[in-house]
Parts: sequence; C-alpha cells; structure tokens
Amino acid sequence: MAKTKGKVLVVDDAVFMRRMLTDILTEGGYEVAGEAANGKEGMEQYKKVKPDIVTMDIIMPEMGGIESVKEIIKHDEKAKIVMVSAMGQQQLVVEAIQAGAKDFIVKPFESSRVLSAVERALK
Amino acid sequence: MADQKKEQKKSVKEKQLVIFFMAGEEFGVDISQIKEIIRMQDITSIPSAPEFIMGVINLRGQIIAVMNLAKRFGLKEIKLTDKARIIVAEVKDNTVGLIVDEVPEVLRIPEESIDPAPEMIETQIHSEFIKGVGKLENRLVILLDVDRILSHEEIKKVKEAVKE
Amino acid sequence: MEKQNEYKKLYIQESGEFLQEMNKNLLIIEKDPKNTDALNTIFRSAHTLKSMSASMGYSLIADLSHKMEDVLSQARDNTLQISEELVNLLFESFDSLESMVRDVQEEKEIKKDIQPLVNKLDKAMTKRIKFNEEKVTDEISLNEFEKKTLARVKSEGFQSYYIKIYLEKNCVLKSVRAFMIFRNLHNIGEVIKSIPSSQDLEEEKFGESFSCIFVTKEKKDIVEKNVFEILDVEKVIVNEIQINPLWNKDVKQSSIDDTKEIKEAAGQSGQMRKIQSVRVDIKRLDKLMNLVEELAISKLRLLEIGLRFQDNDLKSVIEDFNRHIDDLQMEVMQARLVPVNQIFERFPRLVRDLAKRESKLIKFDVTGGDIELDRSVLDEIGDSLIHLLKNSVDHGIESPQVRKNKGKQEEGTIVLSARREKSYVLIEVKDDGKGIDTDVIKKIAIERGIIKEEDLKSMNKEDILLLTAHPGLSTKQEVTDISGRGVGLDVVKQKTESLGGSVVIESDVGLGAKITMRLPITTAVVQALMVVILQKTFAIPISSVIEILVAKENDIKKIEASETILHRNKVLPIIRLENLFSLVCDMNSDSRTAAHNSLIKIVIVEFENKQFGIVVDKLLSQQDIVIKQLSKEFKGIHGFAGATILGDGKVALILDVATLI
Repeated sequence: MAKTKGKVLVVDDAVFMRRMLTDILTEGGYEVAGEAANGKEGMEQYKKVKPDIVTMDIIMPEMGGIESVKEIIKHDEKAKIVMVSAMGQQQLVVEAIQAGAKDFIVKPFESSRVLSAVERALK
Repeated sequence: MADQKKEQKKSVKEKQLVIFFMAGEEFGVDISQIKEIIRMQDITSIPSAPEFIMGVINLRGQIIAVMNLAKRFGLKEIKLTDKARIIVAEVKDNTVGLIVDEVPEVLRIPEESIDPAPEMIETQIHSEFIKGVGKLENRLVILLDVDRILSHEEIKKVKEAVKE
Repeated sequence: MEKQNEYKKLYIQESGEFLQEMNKNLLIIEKDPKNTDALNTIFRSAHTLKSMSASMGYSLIADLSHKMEDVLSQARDNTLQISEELVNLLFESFDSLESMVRDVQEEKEIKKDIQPLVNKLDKAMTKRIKFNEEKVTDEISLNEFEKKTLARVKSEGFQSYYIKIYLEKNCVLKSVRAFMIFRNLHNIGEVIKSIPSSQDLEEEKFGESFSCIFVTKEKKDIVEKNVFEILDVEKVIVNEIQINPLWNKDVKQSSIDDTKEIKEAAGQSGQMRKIQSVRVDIKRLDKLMNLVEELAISKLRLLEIGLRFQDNDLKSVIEDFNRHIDDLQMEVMQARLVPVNQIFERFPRLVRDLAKRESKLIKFDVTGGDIELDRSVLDEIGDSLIHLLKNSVDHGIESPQVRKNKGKQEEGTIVLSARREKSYVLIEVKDDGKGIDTDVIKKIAIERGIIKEEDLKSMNKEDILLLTAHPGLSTKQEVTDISGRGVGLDVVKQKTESLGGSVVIESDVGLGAKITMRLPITTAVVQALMVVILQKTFAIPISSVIEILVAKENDIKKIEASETILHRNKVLPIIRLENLFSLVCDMNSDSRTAAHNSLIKIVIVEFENKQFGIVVDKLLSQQDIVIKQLSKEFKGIHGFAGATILGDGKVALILDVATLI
C-alpha cells in the first residue's frame, strides 16, 4: 500500500458530497478509510477505522455533526475533526469548534481549501 | 437662440397680487404676505382692546386677532355684506386677520409695472403703509405693506396721528 | 438649503447640551479632581463638539474645542495636574464656546478672538509626552479602565500588544475565523478589547481586518504564530503598547481585579444601544397639540350629532372615538412635559460663579431634577430662578467670616428643589443665610406708603414677607441690602402668577429663607366654570372660584360708587363685567334691568385672600378648557388670561381674576 498523508473518515448524509470529498482527498494524497451517512454512524466508524482525521457535515439525520463531534471527542480527546458547513451557519460552526472541532470548510468547496484545512488540522 | 429668448422671457419677474376692496377703494397685497382668505365668521370681541381690533376668531384651533382695516386707517366704513372676507396674514410669527369688504381676484402683474412712488397717488392712507402702485391696463392699484400695517410701531404712530 | 438649516438647528441644540454637560462635569471635577468619569465626559464632549463644529464649518469653535481636547487628554493621562487655574481656564473656554454657539444661533458671524485663550491653554499643557503607541491610539483609543488594566498587568509581567489581523479576501464565515483567532489567543493570554466590538465581529460587521488589544506573557513571535495557525489569515501586525506608569495611578481605588471583568465591561459598552428617544421640535408639538384640540372639538360635535340618531353601532363607534381622543390628548400633553433638570443643570455653574465673585463659600444642592413640567412653563421660569438664586448668594448667604462669628458653618448652603404636589410643581430655593428681617420691611413699607401702620394688625408674618415682592420695595437696592431680599422678587411673583401659580416666602431672621414657586404642571388645560354674561360665554378658572351665590338684586348695596354684598359677615365688592368693559349687548339691554327682588347669580372668586363677586347671567357647566394665549395685539389688556375654543368652534375669553380688580 502506497504511503498516504493520512486516513480520513468522511461523514455526510449526501452521497454526492461524500463522493466529491473523497475525490478531492484522494487526489490530495489521503486515504479515505471510511464513510458515514450520519453522526451516529460516524461515531461507530471512528471507533472501527481509527482515522487520522474526520470531515463532518453539520446537518444530518439521526445524529447531527455537532453531537457527533462531542461523542467522538469524548471517546478520543485528540480526535481531529474538520467541519463541513454551508454558508450562513456561523453559529453552528462556532458551536462545533467549541465542542472540539479543529477547523471548518464551507460548501461549495475549492479543493485547495479543503486540503489546506485538513493539512493544518493534522499538524 | 430660441432658448435664450425663452430664458429672457422667463426672467421677467411677476408678482401675484391679491386684490381687495375696502371703504370703496381698490387695494392689493403681495400674495407672499398672505396665508389664506377665509369667509367672515363669528368674532369674539375683546373688551377694552383698541377699536380697530375687532376681536379674535378660531382659525383651525389657533386663536388669531382680527382687525378692521378700514377702522385701522380711519376710512369711512361700509357695512359688511356676505362678500366680506378675512385676509389671514402671517407677519413675524404672528398671524392676524384683516377684514375687507370684498376680495374679487388675484392678479399677476410684472414687477416692473409696480411704481414705488406713492406720492403721486391721492389716497386717504398714510404713505408709510404703501409699498407701491401697480399699473394695470386701465387702472391703478395701491399696494399695501402688510408687515408695516401690523407692526407695533406703526400702530402707535397711527394712534398718535389720529389724536393730532 | 433645507438640510443645512436642519443640521444647524440640530447643531445649536446639541452643542448647547454638550456645553451644559461640560459645565456640569467640570463643577464635579472642581470639587473632586480625581473624578475620571467627569473628566472623560468633558473630553468626549469637547471631542464631539470639535468634530461637529468642523463639519459645520465653524472653524473657530472647532479650533478652541480642539485645543481643549488636547489639554483634557493630558489631564486624562495624568500628565497634567488639574489645578484651580486649569478649571477656571476651562470654564472660560466653555463661556467662549457658548458665546460663539450663540452667534451661530443668532445668525451672526463668529468673530471672536480665541487666540488669547488658545495661548493660555497651550501654556497650561506640559510638554507633550510622546508614546510609541500613538499610531496605535489613532485607531484604538484606550479608556480609563483599559489603561489602568494595562498598567497594572505590566507590573505583573504581562506584555500588552495591539494586534491587527488581515483576512484573505476570499475568506468565508469571517466571524468564525475571528472567533477561532480569539480562541487561539485566549490560550496564551487575554483579549482586552476588540475593534469592532465582539458583537460586530459576531455579526460580521467588519471588512478584511479587525484589531484587538491583547495581554500575554508570551513573546511577540509566539503571538503571531498563534494567529497564523488559523486558515485564511493573510497578515498579522503585532505592536507592543508602551505603558505610561501613571495610568495606574489610582488603581487602588478601582476594585477590578480581573481582566475578565474589564473585558465584559468593554464588551457591554461596545454594544449598540437602541434609540430610546427622538427629538421633536417644540413647534411641532404645539402643532400636534392644536390638532388634538381640534379633534377634541370635533369629538364634542360628533357627540351632539350622535344623540340625534338612535343607532347602537354609531354610539359604540363614538364612544371608542371619544376614548381614543382623550388618550391622545393625554399623550400629547405628556409629550410636552420635560424634566426641570433641563434648566436646573445650568445653575450649579451660575451659583459657583456668583459665589466666587462675592468671595463666599457655598454648597449648592439640587434635588428633584427629574420632576416634569410643561415645556412652556419651564421656559418661562428660568429668569425667575436666576433672580432667586442670585438673591440667595448675594444677600442671603453671609461671608465666611460673618458666618464664623455667628457660629455657623463657614460654608453656606443653598438648596434648589422641585417636587410634585397634586397638579402643581413646587420649586423651592432655600438658603441658610441671614434671612429676611420683617421689622425692617414693616418700617420701610410704611415709610414708602405701601402700607399703613394700622394695616399691620391684620397682616401675618407671611403677608409681611410677601411685601418684599412689592414693586415699591423689591426694586430698591438699598432695601435689598438691609432686608436681605428683594431685587427681582416682584418679577418672580408676577411671572409665577401669570402662569397660574403663586409665590410663598418663608424666613426666620438669622437662620435663612425659603422661597417657593407653586406652578401648575401644565398651563395648557385648566378646569373652568363656564358662565354667560350678556350673551357672551366666559370661562372662570375653578381654582379661583370659592362659591356660587344666588342673591336678590336688592341685597347689593352701594357704598360710595361701588357695589357690595354682605356675605358670611364679610363685605365683598361686586363686579359687573358690563360696567368694567362697557360690554354692549345686541339685545335690548332693558331686559337686564331686573326687578329689585329678582334673583341674580354671583360667582365669588378669590385672589390673594381678597374675595369678590362677579355677576353672571347664566351658569353653563364646569369643564376642562384648553388655554390659548392671546396674541400680542392684546398685550396690556387686563382682565383676561387668554381664550379657549368651545365645542361649537366659537371662542370664549378666560377671565383673569388677578387683574379684574
């Protein structure tokens, strides 16, 4: 297996978004080690996959992103999570960051920004 | 060229005069000195006020003094008919009504046809109250100066003049 | 042009308020030079006045206020000691500003030579100490709190930085970035203040950059690194703030121990306040009042018309309408009320100046400044209060030496107070000076022929004190000096009475004097008894009506030329308006020559303990009437306090009991 920059878990309820993020991250030299469609799944996948970093959508069914961040951080204090937000969700992003997320990216993404955010979060 | 002409024409200043009758004579006042013209109404007399002040009326909630101009100038009074009007003038923050016999029209005359020399005119009114004389096609109209008519100084002077 | 006028009006009004504020606070500083709040207020006012004047093009006012601002700024930094000279110089500057603003108001050209004052202010300033942070304070101004904090934490080993952060142009959710930056900074220190405020940052009300003041024990490069860790930061400028140790001077008085508290305080003051009030031109209020009165008259007519139709819907609509109009009238009247402080505020300065001139020590207290009075009443009483205060300072309070000899405190006290009593406001000027000597007043009053020796028997102390307000006594300087009161008291009394109020004078020789003006809260509306005399309707203010008497024509007795009636063992003069004013009646006046034993109605009225009767033909009703002043054509005519508009739109005169006799 070729050496990657890190294992990524992509959590998003939209297949389309997961696909897009996976493409960007793979292209950028990361290994997308798992995907999840909601916060609860994300939490389970985290335990299973033990990724280096997570991209986390905020609004999702069953368990939202913020809740999921809290759960993950409870499980692993050092977890590195980058929030995936839409425009106008300042308040939610701030909440997520307070909950322990490292950074955020905003939809629609530019691949370079996604990569630099992930890169910084991993440092 | 045509434009210039137009402009020249425009620059001829006009004055709008309110024409009224008082004691049989025709007078005019500059419309800019006048607030409105209203019909005669009940006047509440004020005991011991000067004779030419007829009293007060209610002008939409404002109480204003009304004076009889004919009495003011010592002219021969004509019994008021239903043509009589009150000309409401505003002078230096003070609103006053002037009773006149009739207000037949508002005229527009060029400023240049107003002659400032009232000495030529024979009238019963003291020249100080006269602003000028307006020349119309076939007649002359005496222009009164409302500011002066209403100023206190002038009232005093008139009183003194009457005494003499 | 219209706009310009509007600005000018606002300018005159606001600068007046600023100057008053400045005067008030300088008085505080004079007593308490350490009062930084007052100093800050003056500084702020001078600053605002400067910019206002500059934008209006009044360069002389702007220049002088700028110079004052410089001086005040040094005082704020404690590089300039607040001395008595400085206070006097500032007062002098205020006066100069005031007179220039007055020039603006009176449409005069401002030609004042401010150079001497400017020079004096320049001289007053110590050498300006330059701080490195000057370029910082261009953008960030530190308030007293912040300065103290910075100075104190310095002594504990903290560094203070001014940080300016530029974000990338394409940065999205800038507010979150700012939040993240502050979070990072928070890990290594404290953000004392941010520009814009934290609320504005949260709401993304900023461009590509924002700044903050930050205290930390870390080095500059660590601070920079922490900010740069955040994505989208384009540039960071970190400048160390040079601390003036004097900033910390009286920090012990401050109970703030934690920078967090200061942060909170700064955050609060940084928030936008909602506009709670708007200015309304008094003329507009008058217009509004007129309209409401018109409505009230329409209301009466509608009521009458409503009675003609037996329609329940109409009835209920009219009732609603009625109630709303009454509420509206009440509201408009309330809107005309202003706190007496609007005129009280200028008096501390007046008393101070008067006292200085007379070399007296005076403590001046003001209470009840929030009591409200109708604007028109308040506008009228300013001069009267000046008279009263001047009397107290000049003739009431003794010199410190005299007071000491008398065993009084060297510092005299003058209290100006306002309080409400039913529908009246009582305004009192009380001093603990030498009081008024009634013996002297009695003597002079008799000498001058104002009263006769035998009159004294029926006069109580209050009556005698009231003599000081008699024109024959009160205008005489020598009397004033002996009696301790006088000048202008007649004017005060006259003014108060013309407003429908009264004056009471109380005094104990050697202990002081108290003069009370009793003023109606509003002159606009009074309760009146409506009567008909010779077919004309008149209003008599209820406040002066004692009772209504029905008597026989032959109960009226002639004493010499005047008519009188015996009532409750008192002989009361009778007044017939028709005689007084030679009223003419359209109707055959014979109808009035009644038989000797026919009944007549007499309204007994009272003014200053004097009672008399007014003969009326008919009593109509008792109702609230709106007083309208008569225009100046009727100045000098006695007997009428104004006019009012009746339900039918006609005008009725209001009898003025005070001038009828």
